[in-house]
Amino acid sequence: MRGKKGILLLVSAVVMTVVSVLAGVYLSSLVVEKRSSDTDRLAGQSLNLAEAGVNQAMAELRKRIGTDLRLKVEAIQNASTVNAYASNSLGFIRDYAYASGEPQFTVSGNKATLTITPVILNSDVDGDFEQTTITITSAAAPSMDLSNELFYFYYTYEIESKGRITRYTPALEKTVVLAPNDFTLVVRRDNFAKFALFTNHHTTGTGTTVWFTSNTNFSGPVHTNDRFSFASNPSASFTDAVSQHKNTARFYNDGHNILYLDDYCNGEIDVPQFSTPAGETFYRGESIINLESSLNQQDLEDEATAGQNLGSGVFVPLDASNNVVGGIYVNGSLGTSSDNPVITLGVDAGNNPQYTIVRDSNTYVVTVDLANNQTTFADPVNGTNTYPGIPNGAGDEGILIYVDDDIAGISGVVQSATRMTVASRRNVVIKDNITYQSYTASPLNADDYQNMLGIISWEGNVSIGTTAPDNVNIHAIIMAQHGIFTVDNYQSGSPRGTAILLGGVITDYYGPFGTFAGGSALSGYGRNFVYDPRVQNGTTPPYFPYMTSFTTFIEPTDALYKKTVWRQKEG
Amino acid sequence: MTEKNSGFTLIEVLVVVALFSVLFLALLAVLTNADLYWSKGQNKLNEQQEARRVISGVVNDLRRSNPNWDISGTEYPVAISENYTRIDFYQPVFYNETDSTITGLTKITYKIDTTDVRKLLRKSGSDPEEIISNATESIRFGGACPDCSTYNCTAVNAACPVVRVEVVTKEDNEFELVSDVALRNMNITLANDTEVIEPEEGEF
Repeated sequence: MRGKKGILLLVSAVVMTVVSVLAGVYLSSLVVEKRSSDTDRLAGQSLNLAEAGVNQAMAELRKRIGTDLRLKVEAIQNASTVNAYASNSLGFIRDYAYASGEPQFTVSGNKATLTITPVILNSDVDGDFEQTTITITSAAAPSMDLSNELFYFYYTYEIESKGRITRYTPALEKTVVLAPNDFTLVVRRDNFAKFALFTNHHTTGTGTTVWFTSNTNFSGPVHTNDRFSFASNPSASFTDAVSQHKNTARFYNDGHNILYLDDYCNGEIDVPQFSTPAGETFYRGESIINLESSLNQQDLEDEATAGQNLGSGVFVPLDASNNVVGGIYVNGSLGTSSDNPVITLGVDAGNNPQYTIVRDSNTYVVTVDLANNQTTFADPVNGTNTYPGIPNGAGDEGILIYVDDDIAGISGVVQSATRMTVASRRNVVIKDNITYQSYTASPLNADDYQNMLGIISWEGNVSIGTTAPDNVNIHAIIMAQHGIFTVDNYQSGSPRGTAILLGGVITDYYGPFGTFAGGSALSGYGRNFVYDPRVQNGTTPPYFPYMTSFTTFIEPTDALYKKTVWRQKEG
Repeated sequence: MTEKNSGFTLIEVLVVVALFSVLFLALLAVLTNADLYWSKGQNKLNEQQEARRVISGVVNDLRRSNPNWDISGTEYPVAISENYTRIDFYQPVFYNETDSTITGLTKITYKIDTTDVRKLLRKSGSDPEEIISNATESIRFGGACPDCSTYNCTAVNAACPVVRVEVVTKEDNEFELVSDVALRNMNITLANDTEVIEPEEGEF
């Protein structure tokens, strides 16, 4: 019996050994497989970390160039400050592209580099991307147009980001490179066209308060060198920053005891609607922006006349070879209303911009052939003649009509490929709709089109005339440097609906559009001013007045947003 | 001790043999089952490993691509064909390790071998074709844009540069792995002299 027990023990031992070996091998292969699948998963994670580093670097670059650098440049007053970097474009990045307390780009040779501090990852992620670097190189020597105080800096940027997973040794690393991408940094005088509404004084010329009510809606930046006045709940609505020079705003307070409060609302009585609930975008106590421009009335007249001494009438100035050299110039007797021109903007059958000017009962027609760079001028005296060149001013910025008189009426359609400015020494009356040939009706914008119009009154007012329709449409950026933008006879008649403006208004005083009682319109128009965001990218009407401070733009506008060449470095 | 006690009777021997046979058969059954489950486990691991390896290679190639490269007006798109089992696309060739200028495009093709459907083939430019996998039960490519809810688009566009890759490997049971790949190279203007490296017509 003892022998049999021994055999059973032996058999059991063999079975146990075999099963143990099999289990061991199987577990071993499981461990290897686990390691293998971990490696796959962690390799993916390290690649994701590297790409996260790229995204972080792109956001940092946009902040540095789009915000930090721009804010510093806005403090520059003299072009010589920018011109000092004429041969040192990387130095410009180093000295301007940072916020207080942040590290600056390091310039070495032809490279400016910045190493990004990584974000802190969740504790369950075994890695980091501490090696993200932005490298900016100079793509070409900067170009400077000192007479126009215009500076171009040409750059190329590259981002390299390494993701590391440290669970195993050696660490798993993946490196992603985003390169190369070119952008141009344009530095130039800032332009008043960037405002949806700008007033030097936020009252009428006689000091009467014009209240913001629920009939007033603005998209885009709004600024006054004075204080704003709010009535009703809800009062006006704003979708962008609102800034004023004075510390307190004026509140209607139901018509009793008008209040001046350093606040964004008057309790529940007068409550403007800002883009943030707590009125965080209502900035008070801001610096005064000088409405005087570095481009004055005489400059614009010279652009239109090309420096020629012209008499009374309507002119398309020519040089000795009969080439168009200026803009369209209209000269009349100041103070005599009979010769004030009526201007109709239009488009002919060939889709060419056509401007019809009626002055002193005579009709002048200027047709601009953009494709063939020639202008046909029909006038009562000389008949119809075609000349090489287009009336885009001596500086070739864009179509310019300058009227050394009042404009009795302007209306019509701005041809789709035309950027133009109509400037007048005295008053301008808008007598009918003025619209862009190409625009999107809802939501109202012309973002994808070229047509743009500026209307300037140097010494007078711009007004919406009594012949304008209810709910008038005006697509233009309007400036009255020493006047207002208002509605003729705003205080009489029935309410005329809403004046819908696509563009902006820059005036010395704030012109009334209508009257109201208890938040309801009694007469005139309500305001719906829709901002034209193209101006934020540096697109403005030609010869539109510049501010005394500088600003920057990035070309192409999406250069710091779009990813181009994506490359994964091997190893 | 007597002489009678020194041996075993026939009955005793038969009982012992029977007992040992039962024990042996039981042991054999245990070992056979162990081997069977070992094989199944091993096959499952192989299926997973193979699927990961295949999809990792395809994804690694695809993500470097662009929905529609353009050289002087000639387009080099991502194209899905042969009932979603073949994909053709172009990968950038860079100037060198440090210069990311794109000097060429290499055409990459993945497809099932028509003579052996378990073989997945890869062709890169004019290089000889490679057998990527011998255990691919099926592979499917599809544009993964919002309007391709069932991933049945055969073209990929810049608005939605995503391709879905589904790989099924099989030893015993099927194992399926799915990955959506975003093509990374976008918004690129290629030089007119960019070289295109692709098989001769009809070669692959």
